[in-house]
Amino acid sequence: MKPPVFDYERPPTLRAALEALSRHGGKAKLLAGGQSLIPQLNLRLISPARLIDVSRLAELQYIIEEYGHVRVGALTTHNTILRSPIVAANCPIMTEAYAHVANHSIRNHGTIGGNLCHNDPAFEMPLVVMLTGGTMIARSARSTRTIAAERFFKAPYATDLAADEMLTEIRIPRLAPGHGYAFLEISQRYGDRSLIAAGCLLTLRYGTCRDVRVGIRNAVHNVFRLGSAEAKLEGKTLSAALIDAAAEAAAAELTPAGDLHADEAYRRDLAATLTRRVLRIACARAGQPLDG
Amino acid sequence: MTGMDEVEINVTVNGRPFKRRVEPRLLLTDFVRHEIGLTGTHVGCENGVCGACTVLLDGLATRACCTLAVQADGRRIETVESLGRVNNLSPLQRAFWEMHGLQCGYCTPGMLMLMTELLRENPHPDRDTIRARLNDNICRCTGYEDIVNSVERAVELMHAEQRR
Repeated sequence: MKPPVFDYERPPTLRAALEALSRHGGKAKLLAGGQSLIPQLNLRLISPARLIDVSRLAELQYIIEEYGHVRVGALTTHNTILRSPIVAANCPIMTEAYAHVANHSIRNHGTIGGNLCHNDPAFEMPLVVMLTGGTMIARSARSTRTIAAERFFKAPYATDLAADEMLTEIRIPRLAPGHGYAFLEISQRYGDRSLIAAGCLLTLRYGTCRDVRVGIRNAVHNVFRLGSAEAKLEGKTLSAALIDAAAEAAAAELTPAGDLHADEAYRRDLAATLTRRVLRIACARAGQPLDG
Repeated sequence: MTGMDEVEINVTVNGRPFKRRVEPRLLLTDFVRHEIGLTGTHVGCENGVCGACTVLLDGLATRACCTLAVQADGRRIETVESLGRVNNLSPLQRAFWEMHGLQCGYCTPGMLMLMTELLRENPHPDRDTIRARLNDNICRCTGYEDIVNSVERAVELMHAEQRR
């Protein structure tokens, strides 16, 4: 199908874009990479009165390492981030997760800001931002505010942004050298929407698990961390049995989700399996591989 | 505002400059097919799944159905018509022809443009690299093996041509 009728403008600067957004607010949509927005238009799922094209705002395309953070401009494309040595060195879980984001052609244009604002429950980046303790910088013509990941992702396809606000930057705390990380995903075909995606971060100090963060995306609900799985590991001495217990806890805590592609029991099973795998990989990367 | 206000855009298609007035909602697929008259770019799913409409936008593989024509303003578009002609196929096209890299041919323009980008950035891709990139596009008849073989053959032909 073809998109419905809309007005179009391409403001030359961020300031002009924010002013346009404050004028048109809820009736306008920001066009970033367009890789989710334009299919939605083609399918007539949405019909905004106006598109404000921000895709060329070079002032929001950057990756900078500064004061213990990696700062990523919201309009930086997926492939730029996937190939960034700064991201690979400071936030390798993001690089690993990016291998699962759509496919190459879509990553050529899709942006991290568009991805996070769309908050599709199958998307990987909201989980990465949640696990790393990232913060979003939102700007409007009237103010700038910082939003923690836990507050930003409100519900599937919904964020904390007001109608006149635009996500301008994502700040990821630099992860300590030697930390363990892993991101895995199961989908029907490589590059398809995930059925279940799992990620984890942890550090090992003399065999004891610290700063354990485990999270799942189930393609149905909002992004979340799994507190019960984290609690099984935090402060404990690492063992294979402990990882199994955490995987069981993850499956039990998972919000029930079933759809055409995977019923609830299968999703729980995948959640346990992927949690076990990401924990094992992360422990090996943190310097302590487990046998078997 | 009626919403029907047209916007003037300037683009380069296969090396030739064009100036056109377009509705903002016009997709790049329909722009190259109906405004420029180049029907080699095929329209498949129209929601970003199949890749049949892949063109290069400033050198980057792009789903033309997920791109508005107004977004191409000031940019360089390359379509399958830029590769070769019936009596003078490009090495990549010749390889698809030799190795049966197509049956119905509907996905072929997209496959060719996707692989054009890959071969520019990596003139010696191994089989796994080719397969990984082909993940972008869907073919419903050849079963992909012949397409992978075609790209490998294209690499040989391109290098043979360079040596001559």
